[in-house]
Amino acid sequence: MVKLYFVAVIYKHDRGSTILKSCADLTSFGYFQKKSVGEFMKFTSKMIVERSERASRSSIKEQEYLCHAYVRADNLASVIISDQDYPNRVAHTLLSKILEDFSVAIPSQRWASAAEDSVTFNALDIYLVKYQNPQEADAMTKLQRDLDETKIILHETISSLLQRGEKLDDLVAKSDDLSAQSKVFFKTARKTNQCCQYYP
Amino acid sequence: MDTSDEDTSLAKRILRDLRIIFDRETNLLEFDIVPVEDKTLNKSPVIFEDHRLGLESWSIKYLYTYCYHEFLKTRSHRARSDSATINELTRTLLLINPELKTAWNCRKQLVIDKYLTIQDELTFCQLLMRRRSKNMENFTHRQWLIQMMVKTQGHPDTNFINNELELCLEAARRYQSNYYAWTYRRWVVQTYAYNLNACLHEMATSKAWIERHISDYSGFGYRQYIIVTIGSLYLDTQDKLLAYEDYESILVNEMDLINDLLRIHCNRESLYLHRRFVVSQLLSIDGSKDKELYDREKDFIIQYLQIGRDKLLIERLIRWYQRFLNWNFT
Repeated sequence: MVKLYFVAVIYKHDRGSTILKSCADLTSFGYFQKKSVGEFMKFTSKMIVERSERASRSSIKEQEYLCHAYVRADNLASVIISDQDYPNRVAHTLLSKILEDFSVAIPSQRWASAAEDSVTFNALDIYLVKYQNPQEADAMTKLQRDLDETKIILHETISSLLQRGEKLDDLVAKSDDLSAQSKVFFKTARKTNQCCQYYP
Repeated sequence: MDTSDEDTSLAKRILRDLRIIFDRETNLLEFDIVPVEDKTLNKSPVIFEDHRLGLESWSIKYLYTYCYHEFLKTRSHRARSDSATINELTRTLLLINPELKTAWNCRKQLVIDKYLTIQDELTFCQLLMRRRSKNMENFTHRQWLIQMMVKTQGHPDTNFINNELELCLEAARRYQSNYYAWTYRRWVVQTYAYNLNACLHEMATSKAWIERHISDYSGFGYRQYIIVTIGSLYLDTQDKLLAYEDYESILVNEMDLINDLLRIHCNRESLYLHRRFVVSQLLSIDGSKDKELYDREKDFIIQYLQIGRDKLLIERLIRWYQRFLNWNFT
């Protein structure tokens, strides 16, 4: 499916990160899974930003999902979670566009101090709907020329982002962002090596 | 009480809770198993919220084991168990494991005995399909139910058919490359909507679908079936020359669609396979177009080689043209 699930603007602190604004389209997930999937998308996007260098772009594959991240030199970052059919080029162009608009709309002195998911920036919700159709990208041709695709760092799994000795399972277990239900959810999905599907 | 007695009474209690919900709720939207590691004491594992039914995962092994043994017992007794019990057991078994063919067949008997209505059973199938969208037994059961319905009530109306078509799309959306869903759709069109208007409408629906599911070749396969069907329908209804002309224009439009999609999406094998299909169809109606087509494909290949796009797939396309159409691009 050509689908955008999640977009977020995140601030990268020296330790940790804060989601300034996020929105998600989880209509394709089951009723009982939605909440956990949403929590995981937030958790994952923060983790990616924390482990990415400043002034870098990356695309990370995880099962049937693709996470795209752009961290600017001024600590502002954006993350998109899409499926594997969504064109990379369009995702990265959108990442730049989101940050440009965000910088204009929200003064930079507020970025570092804002609380989790507290900034009002409705343009993001509009982007999530509008760019479900990648053909919209044609309007962004100017930006596309500026984008050097060879500079995007590619990772085959989320685990390859982790530092030596770190384990995804431990990070999940320790996280405060994930509810107990979501942690069980994650374990079950790992065991069956299936995302969001449970086989008895 | 020893453990197995405890397990049995637990299973019976869960069954009772489920029965209450199924008796009361006529519009169940979803069923799912919710991962929960340990049971909370004295708390039922049945979750019911906003027309959605959930079962906590720890309870599955007790419930399934109990139901399965009871179900086998009803099968082995010569004397028939009552329909209500069979209905309840098979319903629960299929919610957990919709691959259980024997249970599906028992339900067919319940439909024949008029204990279950065809409409209710169709709704039940749909509920199961939301959780397991790629499940052949479910589609076969559905097919059987519809054939039963047609026998007694005659040809289904357009509303009913549209509903079935929408159901296929939902299943295909939920499970990538869901060949069973597309095969079912093919059956619906072939049996109840085999005419030019319906097929042209299918072309439009499937166009919107492949644009959003670019790597799902099952969806493309269905589209190819529709294209070929339109070709033969043209031949059935029109003069041969005119039919070929109309069919050709469909194929030329298809080529434009492929080229548009190739511009947006990189490295999608499905688009190249579809391209091969369109080229072979074009050649099959008019072999004399060979040179013209060859030139057009050559331009396309040269252009893509120059910008270095989809390199591997272009190489494969060249090899295929060489091997099957004897076209050389040197």
